[in-house]
Amino acid sequence: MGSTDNKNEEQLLWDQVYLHFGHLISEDDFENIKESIKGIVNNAKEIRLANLDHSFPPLNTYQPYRSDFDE
Amino acid sequence: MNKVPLFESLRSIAKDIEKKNMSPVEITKYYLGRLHKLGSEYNSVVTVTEQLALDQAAIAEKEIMNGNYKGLLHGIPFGAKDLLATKYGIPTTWGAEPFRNQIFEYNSTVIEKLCDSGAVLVAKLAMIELAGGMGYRQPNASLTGPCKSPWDKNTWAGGSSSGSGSAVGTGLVPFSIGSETWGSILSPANNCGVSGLRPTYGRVSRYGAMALSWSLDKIGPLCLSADDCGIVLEHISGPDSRDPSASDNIYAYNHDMPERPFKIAVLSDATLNADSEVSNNFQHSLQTLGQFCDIEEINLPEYPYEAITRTIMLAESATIFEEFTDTGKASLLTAPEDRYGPYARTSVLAKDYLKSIRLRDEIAQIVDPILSKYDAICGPTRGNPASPIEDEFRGAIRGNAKDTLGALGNAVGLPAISVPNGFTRADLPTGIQFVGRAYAENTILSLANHFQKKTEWHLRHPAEVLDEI
Repeated sequence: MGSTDNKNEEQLLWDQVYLHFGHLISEDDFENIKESIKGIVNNAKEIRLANLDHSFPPLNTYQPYRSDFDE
Repeated sequence: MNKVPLFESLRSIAKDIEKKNMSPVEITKYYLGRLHKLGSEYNSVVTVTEQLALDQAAIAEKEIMNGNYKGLLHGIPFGAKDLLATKYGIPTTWGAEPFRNQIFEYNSTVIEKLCDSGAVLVAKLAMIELAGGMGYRQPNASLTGPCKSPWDKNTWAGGSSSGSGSAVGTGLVPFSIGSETWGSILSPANNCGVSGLRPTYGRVSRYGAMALSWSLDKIGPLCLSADDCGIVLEHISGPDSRDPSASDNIYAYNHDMPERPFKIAVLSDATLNADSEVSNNFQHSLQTLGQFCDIEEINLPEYPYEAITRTIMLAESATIFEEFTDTGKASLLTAPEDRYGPYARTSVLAKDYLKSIRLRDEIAQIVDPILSKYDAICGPTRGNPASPIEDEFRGAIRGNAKDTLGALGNAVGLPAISVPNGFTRADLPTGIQFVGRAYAENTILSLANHFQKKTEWHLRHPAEVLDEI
């Protein structure tokens, strides 16, 4: 992902944050939140570049649930 | 009181209590006095639980006088990070202004277990607001103000278990409970010159503890020595039907593991970003460890450890604090950066969070065989000693901080202990950490115990607090 793509993603994520929380955020903090989003996109970029070895089964912790075992 | 318990080990205080040389009521009054006198000076206390403490101490005293001695913690006062729920009308503030008056009608499991063991709760201790989960960058991010290091009031105690570290280091409590999502026990241990144990994920029930990130949060002790940490861990660990993540494994502290040739690993870049004094102290520690350990340099497989851990923490905290964020309560927090911190994290994509979880699973399965060749990986606890209380300790853009051992250990849920390993020229403590395999607390405690038998850093205490009372 190039820097232009990064910028586009940061802008899209900011638009989403603003859409949901614009009424709660002070204008003084707009740039601060954009900086935080930049950090999140940096992290995401690293994660997306990491190779996932599909021979490792995910350690799934979900178990079906029922409250009784009378059956 | 014939004898003063200040900075005595838990075994020593317990022995005096069992032999009736010291009474739980006298000891409790002694620490209550110190809490009242020094707590506000160091910003380390939220609530002194005076009446409860005196009642619990009186009960303990009566039990002991009647020959019902319960064990090593019976009658010994302790403090708890203020994210552990307490009933009795005592507030549990999570260190944050919006929760200043929050009252629970139940005790967290850890509080319950300690009180059942006869320990005496004397204080709810200061912490970074919401356990630092909103992205704080400086010490003044707490409803009780910046918590200070016992060694220099112009420096920070570390966080987010700030009060838990500072109160032990200033002798306000014999031991305390903290919690760690990423660095929150080890950082105060480093900055305050005390020993801090981050148990394996699931070793200690989190029922009644504020959740920041359900797959990362751990609860553990901060004490004067590794031995004390082992004693406390045994009392707070164990299964709990109210916390599905609590392990069924029963933990028994083995304090008497003989010295043997341990094998430890050091990351090749362990001191890459460390201050020169931190680096020097670490090298001296390796020489000490070399007396009873084989030491090997290793490299871990390439993974974006920090990005994975951070992404998991941000995504999970975004959903935990969803209502808090949606209702704009963040504007009431103390640190300016915490007031906008909750919003950005709502933009973490599900696929990035889920890939982080899958990468974590993979790392857990790859790293364990590496760790199985060693008793521990060790490194400096932090790259620097306590920073000035007015300074920011990290930059605005997260993602560039190098903390491989911290990120790996917390993501995968590995136990770690930090113990003091020296001082800087400015007389600030530094720490060394030992990270072990999952459920290998006894191994890393044994390593730390033997290290502390050969060093005296943990026996040094700030002169300023020695003659206060």
